[in-house]
Amino acid sequence: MTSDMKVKTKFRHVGTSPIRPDGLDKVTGRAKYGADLNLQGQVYGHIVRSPHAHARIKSIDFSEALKLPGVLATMSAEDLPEPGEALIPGAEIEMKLKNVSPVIMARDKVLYHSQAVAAIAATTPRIAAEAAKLVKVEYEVLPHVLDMHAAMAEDAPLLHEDNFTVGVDPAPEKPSNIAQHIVMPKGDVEAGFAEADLIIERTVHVPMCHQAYIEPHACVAKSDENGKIDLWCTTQGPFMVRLLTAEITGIPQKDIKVTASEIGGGFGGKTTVYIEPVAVVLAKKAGRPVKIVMSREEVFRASGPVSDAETRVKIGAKKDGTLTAIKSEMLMDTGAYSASAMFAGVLFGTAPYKCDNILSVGSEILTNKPRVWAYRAPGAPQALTAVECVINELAWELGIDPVDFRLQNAVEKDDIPLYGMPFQAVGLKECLQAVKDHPNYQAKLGENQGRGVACAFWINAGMQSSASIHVTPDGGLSVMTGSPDIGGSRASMALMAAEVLGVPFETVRPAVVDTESIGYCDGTGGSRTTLATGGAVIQAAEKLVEELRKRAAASWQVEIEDVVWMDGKAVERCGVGIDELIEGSSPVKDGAKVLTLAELAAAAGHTGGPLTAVASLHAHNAAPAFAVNVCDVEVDPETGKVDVLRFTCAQDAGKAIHPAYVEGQMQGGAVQGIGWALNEEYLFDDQGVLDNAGFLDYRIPVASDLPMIDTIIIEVPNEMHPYGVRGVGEVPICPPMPAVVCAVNQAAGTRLYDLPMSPPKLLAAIDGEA
Amino acid sequence: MKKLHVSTTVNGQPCEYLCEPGQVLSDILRNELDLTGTKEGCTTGDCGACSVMLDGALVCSCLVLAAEAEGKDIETVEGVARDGKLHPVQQKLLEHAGLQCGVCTPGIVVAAKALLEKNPDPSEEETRYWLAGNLCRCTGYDKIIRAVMDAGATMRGE
Amino acid sequence: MQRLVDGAREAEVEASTFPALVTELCSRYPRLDERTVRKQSLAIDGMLIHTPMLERFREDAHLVFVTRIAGG
Repeated sequence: MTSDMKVKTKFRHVGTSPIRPDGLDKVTGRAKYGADLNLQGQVYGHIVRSPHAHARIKSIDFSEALKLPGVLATMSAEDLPEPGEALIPGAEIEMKLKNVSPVIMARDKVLYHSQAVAAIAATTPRIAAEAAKLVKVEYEVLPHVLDMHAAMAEDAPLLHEDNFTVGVDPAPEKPSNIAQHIVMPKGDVEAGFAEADLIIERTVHVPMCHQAYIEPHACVAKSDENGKIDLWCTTQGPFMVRLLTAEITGIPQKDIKVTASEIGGGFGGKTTVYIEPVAVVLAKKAGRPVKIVMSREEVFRASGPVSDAETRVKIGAKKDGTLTAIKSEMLMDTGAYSASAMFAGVLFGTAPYKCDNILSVGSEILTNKPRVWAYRAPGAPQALTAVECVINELAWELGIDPVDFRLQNAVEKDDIPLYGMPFQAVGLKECLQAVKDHPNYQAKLGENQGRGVACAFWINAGMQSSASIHVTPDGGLSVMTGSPDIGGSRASMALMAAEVLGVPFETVRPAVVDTESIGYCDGTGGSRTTLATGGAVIQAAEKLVEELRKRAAASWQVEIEDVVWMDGKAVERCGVGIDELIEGSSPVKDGAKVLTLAELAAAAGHTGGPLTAVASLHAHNAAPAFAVNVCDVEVDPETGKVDVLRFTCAQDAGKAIHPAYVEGQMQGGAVQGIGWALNEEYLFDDQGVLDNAGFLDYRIPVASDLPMIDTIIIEVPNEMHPYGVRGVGEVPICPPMPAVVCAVNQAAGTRLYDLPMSPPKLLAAIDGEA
Repeated sequence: MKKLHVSTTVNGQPCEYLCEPGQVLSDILRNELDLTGTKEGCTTGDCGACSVMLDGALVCSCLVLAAEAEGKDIETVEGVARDGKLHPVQQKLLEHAGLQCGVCTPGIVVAAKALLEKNPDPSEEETRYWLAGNLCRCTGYDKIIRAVMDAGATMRGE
Repeated sequence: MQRLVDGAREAEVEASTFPALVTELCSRYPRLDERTVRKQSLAIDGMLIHTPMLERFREDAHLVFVTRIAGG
């Protein structure tokens, strides 16, 4: 991997959109998701949850529950190792076990309503639920704090007596509810503001929301007589489940096999565990396989929602539109344990813009709410929304077209963002230009209508992946990886394998296999699967090509250099150059020997045995993604209801391996962002009980809320990837929120920055302006 | 608790099962009859993943008591493809990439088939409103709506 | 990390390997400890290494420490 790597630009398969190999099973109902497996002798787990937002657990008494016929096992934090100060080795970012284990089973204290405190295994789900009600937990109720500002007060109830804010000098002597603090300066913001002709400062509040994947968490755990664990679950990362289950339960990773089911959505929410360690412990204790399926209510109350954030952004610009300074101060709610994406918010909120003077600070606040977790580009949407809203207002005030204003300040190659890594080629300007040229941007707006534009950035991850390819005796290819297919990645893997091997797409059967059948793979997340797992597939396929050339050379008794692999066949060069043959500038010599993949596979037993190839890598070649959205809305001034009229997304994919699924990522992210801007929010009562723990009251966008979502795929290749891939999954959720907010404010004549822009709130803002 | 004996037809075949009085149809389909194509996303009738046809009416099977199906005709997603051939709705969902994670897809297939049987030429708006009870979190609905309308065109012989 | 190096944003360092880099930085900035450095990702000439350990650097290599970020 060097900077002089040649990025392939001519493809046979890559860039086409064939039907996904797992499609038939998914449209016919045969595909097996988390809750679709039932094992012989299986029993059912049920989790007892806290009725309080903050309380000390004084005792747990299972005696009445155990009297109920059909109850087989119980568990509590007593059954898990004491976390102490241990760090979880090999986790994506540094995690303390004491911040993870209590989310599975509370220890000593409960810190949010519905936190798990105990569990029951029984022969039927109904008996398990009945028994759970008989578990007597004695609590000493403590005062709780739900609001970030209240949590920072001197006399606020303290969640963790051992939490001393990290990142301040000198280190605090008193514990507080501020988990971490970060200051990222660049240049001199005060000097920058002094140069500005116009300064606008706004506070933008983005609410706590949920990933709202349609499939609830579900798993089945089996423990054999030797203590070996077999775990089936819905997850973005089976190896992550193995690691966390091992750390939380104390069972070694080598004794745990994890099989990922098909996954019914994750968006970051399934990059951790909630029920898997519980099922494992109960299965061990009950001596029977244990199935746990979370209810939708439990998913909302007790999985990992998404941080609410309050960001105060101040930006200065000259009359000609040059940005002179950006200051961003972010408060991010992490719920009961430190796990928020505050760092990403602080580092990336300003990434789309050239600006010499930036000061970005952030504080992560602990509150008595569920521990937050990742949601698509974690941390970035909250930060970018705040910055983009101010950028839009600056453009309006300066009388500059909002796209032109962004084009003028957009980053390009060699610019250095706040996080310090100079950009290689990036496609932000291309995205802006594409949006400007799109009919959406030219459409005439009517009364009560408005248009918003927004830019966004996400860094994208690489990390570790493995792939393995086997050849069937008749020349079929099975491509195995450990990356769950959450949105069509099997199709991408098959396309890349077919590309390297020069065989029809249908020849390749891609599979996602369990943790014992493939080398380590980090999870499907961070927009990394096509880049990194795909990279492993490309490498394995290249190794297989080498092997096939070797086998052909042996058959013909020539040197491997005399064999070229083209169009799925080994061809004797007969002195013609390899590049000329592959590019087709020189024809294959008459009489040159040829062996097809099927012929080589059939003879494999005579030429060295089965044809296989394996590749494992740690991908360091991820490249950032930029996206731009434009959105037209109409506001009903009587009711405050917002209708989205038109929506267009442009995104730099680097190279779209399967364009239809890249468009799907863009459209899906856009609609999630629309939902977050207009409807979605966690509503707690004053006791910290979630009031809207169901899809009726936590309303995600439905088909009738939306127009078609137009997409423009921009391809500025990632110079470090053989096919130019960047990663596409996360950035789509970043620009829609600010685009919608700006469109609504333009349509309604408001400056409402307290999201979501629900009808009552918007109506109040409209009435306030009038 | 004594179980109830229920006689029904499932995907054209006679079918009998035992259920508890409070047990819902989606539970029986999934966990007694092993028809796990019917998904449970909420069990409160809000997500539509458990959509099935009950005597020709589109219902959320999580809101129907299993005992209510006595003497009735149940069609699930497993019965949509016939004689080894996909229904046009299934085929078009694949061609338009109208699914990502695929967990809402069985419900969409059942609901969209019901729409096209009732209204062979739905407008985009009619399609969107008909499918408003089927939540999809991955696709933003664009490709689903296109696929269903295209399936309608195919069925009309266009 | 910047806090522990008295706000320094850039430094010229002679080191051809990651361990040597860590040693050099920690001796130059006494408040900086090895664990803090190893918690960062490291970009080497535009390649972002999530968990650096054995990396070697060419002369004039451009290195950037980046806070490790989790994806979704």
